[in-house]
Amino acid sequence: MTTTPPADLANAAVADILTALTGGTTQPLVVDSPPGAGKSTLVVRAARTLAAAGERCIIVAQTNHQVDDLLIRLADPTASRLRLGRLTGGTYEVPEHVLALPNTIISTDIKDVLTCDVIIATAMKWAYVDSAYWQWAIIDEAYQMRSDALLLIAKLFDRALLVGDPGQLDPFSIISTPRWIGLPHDPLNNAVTVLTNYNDAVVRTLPVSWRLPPSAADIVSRAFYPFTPFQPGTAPATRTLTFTTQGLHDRCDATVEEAARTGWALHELPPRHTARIDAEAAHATVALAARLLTRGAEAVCENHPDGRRLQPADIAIGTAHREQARHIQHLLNHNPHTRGVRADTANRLQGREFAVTIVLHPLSGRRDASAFHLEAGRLCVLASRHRHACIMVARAGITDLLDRHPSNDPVHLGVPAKFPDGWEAHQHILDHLAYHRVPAP
Amino acid sequence: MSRLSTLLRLEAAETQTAQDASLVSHFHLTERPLLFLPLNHSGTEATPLAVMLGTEPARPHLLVTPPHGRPTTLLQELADHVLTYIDSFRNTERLLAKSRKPARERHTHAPQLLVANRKSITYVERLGRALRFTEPPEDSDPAHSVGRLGQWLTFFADHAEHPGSAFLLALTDLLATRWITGQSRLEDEHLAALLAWIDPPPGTTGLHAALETENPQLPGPDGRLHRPAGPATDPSFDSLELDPLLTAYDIAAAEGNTAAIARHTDRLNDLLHTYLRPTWDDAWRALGLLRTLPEIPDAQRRWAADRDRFTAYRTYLTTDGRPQPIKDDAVSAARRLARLELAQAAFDAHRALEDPFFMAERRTTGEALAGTVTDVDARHTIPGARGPRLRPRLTLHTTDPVRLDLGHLLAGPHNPRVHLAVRAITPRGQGTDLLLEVTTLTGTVNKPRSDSVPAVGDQLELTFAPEFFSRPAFPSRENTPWTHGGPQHNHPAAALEETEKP
Repeated sequence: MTTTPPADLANAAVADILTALTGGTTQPLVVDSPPGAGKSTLVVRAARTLAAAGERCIIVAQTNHQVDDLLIRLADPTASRLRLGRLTGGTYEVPEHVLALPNTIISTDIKDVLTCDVIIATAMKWAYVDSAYWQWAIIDEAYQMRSDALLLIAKLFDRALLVGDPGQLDPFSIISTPRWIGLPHDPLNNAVTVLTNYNDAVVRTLPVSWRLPPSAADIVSRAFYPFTPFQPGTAPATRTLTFTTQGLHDRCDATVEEAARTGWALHELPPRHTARIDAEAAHATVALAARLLTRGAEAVCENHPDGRRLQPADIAIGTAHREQARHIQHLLNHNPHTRGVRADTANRLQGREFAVTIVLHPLSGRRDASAFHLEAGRLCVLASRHRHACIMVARAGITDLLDRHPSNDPVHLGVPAKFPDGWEAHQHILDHLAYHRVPAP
Repeated sequence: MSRLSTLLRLEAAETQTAQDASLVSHFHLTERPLLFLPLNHSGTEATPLAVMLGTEPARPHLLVTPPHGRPTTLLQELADHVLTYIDSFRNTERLLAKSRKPARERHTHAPQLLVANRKSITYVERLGRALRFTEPPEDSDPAHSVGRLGQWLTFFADHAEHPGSAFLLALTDLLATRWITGQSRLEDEHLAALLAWIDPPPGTTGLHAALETENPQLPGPDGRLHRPAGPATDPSFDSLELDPLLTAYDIAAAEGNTAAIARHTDRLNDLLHTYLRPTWDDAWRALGLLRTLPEIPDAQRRWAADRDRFTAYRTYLTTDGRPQPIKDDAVSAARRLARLELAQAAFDAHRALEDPFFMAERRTTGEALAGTVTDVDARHTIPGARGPRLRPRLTLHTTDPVRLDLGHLLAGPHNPRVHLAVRAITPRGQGTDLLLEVTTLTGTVNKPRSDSVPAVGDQLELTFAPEFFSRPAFPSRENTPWTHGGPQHNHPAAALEETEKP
């Protein structure tokens, strides 16, 4: 173990990236970042560094939510002033607090914002811009971006800084065809892979996760980032979760207490094969969220050293399938204690952060382990959204299921083997959860 | 598989009878399709052993590769048959210019290739890839060459990938949309067994008929052997019948016994005829069953688009004519993906709006819901650039699970062109109240169109509306950016893509 404080490690890594950025390189820069390692901070600092060097740049994000988030950070009144431009689509309603930002022009037309130091928009919006040109583009969440989206905007710049988390889910399409497998420009692949297939890129990694608590950083690093390990940014004592009321001493209490104490819990329901919507498991996730809230969980962290009462918006429930998420959201909305808790799929929770996450295990109740359910990225997203604790809800018997279904994905020419392997990552996480198992009858 | 089809499958298994699923046809079936039953030489890639094809049930054409020979003659005969068939579609209609489309010619009819199962679609693709670069021999007409056959087979296979296109269809797929059997989806791929489930002989159940039919060694309930429909041959056929025949042929050839050679060649023809004929009859029986179904309106619209593509591709063959490239370049791949995604979304949306079974299936997955209109505000307006715009609002009460987000656009079979945006979702009682806003065909404040607004008490079924949005243009091949390998020049895909514009 290194003894360098995490903050110094992170600063050194960022300084190195910023030097490369202004060093006159013609190679694209790729920054691989583990969950919660300060991607947005890096994007903002890179934009500021370029602006300070007299270089105007554009920022490409994937969703309007991400754009607004970055814009708020860029408009930080305590830092040096930047002229900011935000391009929006015609149908998007910009939230009030974004409209009120200083030194910011918000427009649907590129002509209104051309003079700005930094212009930011979604990849989709940038695709409609032409006849303008910048030296640099900073692409946020580049691993979530499909390569055909990059093809649409690549005319706008000739150098790029791509920032993203390689451990997350690959982009998605409703079309599944083997037609492009193995091609260097497979449009279903992510932007980073295609760009690096055609160009020599400088690849850097961020070494510290500020989001994940020490209880999670080690296991997530081992299971999902075997070749680019990272460490937690906080000490074990910095983050605590305590309850202000006594519980009923039932199984739900046992689970939430285990999670509060250790950062992990496996709420294990009796074994059973179920359809996609497992009513019992769905109710368990909602009951656990309700229990966390009714027991007045108090979260202490570096941002709130005096503690802060857990609110519904601090909790998320993650699932593999949309139907499951919608079903659970329906239950959450009908329970007065849990209104405001969000249930969503791994795809939609990517890039988000919560105090506590409750995860319906992708393999819970299944008879088979298909490639979709085994995908390492899916489990990685679900197991790395939390600042305090992660509670997995699953039917017993997943270990046997994994033993019966070793991963047997076909191997294709021209497609590099993907690490980590989903099957192995699942085993890692299950091994770890075995120490935090709470059987629920 | 949705919950509804899973339940039907369980019910079919329990009652031993195939269950009704969708009662309409999602694809246009032409009057004169070409049935195409290929058998591949075991252990080789895209080397046909035999092909049975034709447009009339009573007149199958059997093409056979001679024992131990190359399929050269077979392929030339196949090219003749298929290209003559394609060439027989000559009538065109003149379409007038419409808002964005210029005036154009379009064939009134187009070829349609039917195969027994999905594997045969892949086989058509493989065969097309193997043949389309074949150079025509000197002094021959390229329009009747094996290379041209490869181009057309690739054309058909490419469209089998295009959601909603009816150029190349697998009969098992069509049957499995109409009926749900008590066997697995994999077993449904065996045309004879699937038909036995759907249409068992009198006095037996679907299950028993299928069990008897699927054994390739014993005659089925109709007294005939039903071999797997191809393109792979039944292994027991290979080792017990084909191999001994070929050995006998070899011995005759070594002895120079011409009479025996001729006899063995005839026997091979008979053998393959006996192999394929039951599948041939099954396929026409399947087609007969499918033709009784009414077509949904979208099937006609998609077929019209198919005919446009047929016309465009014929024009391409006479003007440019280069075979489809081996691989898509970056721009073609991205454009094709965008085209396929658009087609898939439109296909799914229309199927749900025009087929009650798909709508029911969507209700089980939360992509659709049904409810009663409890309140209507037909005069509701929103501010617009030129004065208030009419946006009637209504409240729909539903007890279906609601899995929608604000802003989603919905449409229903009551009037698919009326789109309703979700403005609020409120739990009420055991159900949910949805506040919906009519966003299309509203008319103006002074001239409201009342037929677009449902009335209080109406029962509505709603699902996601088909999406129509313009997409940004991909760069041209000459301008492929540095991220994707740089410019590409003089690529046949540029002209080919013109044939794909819907």
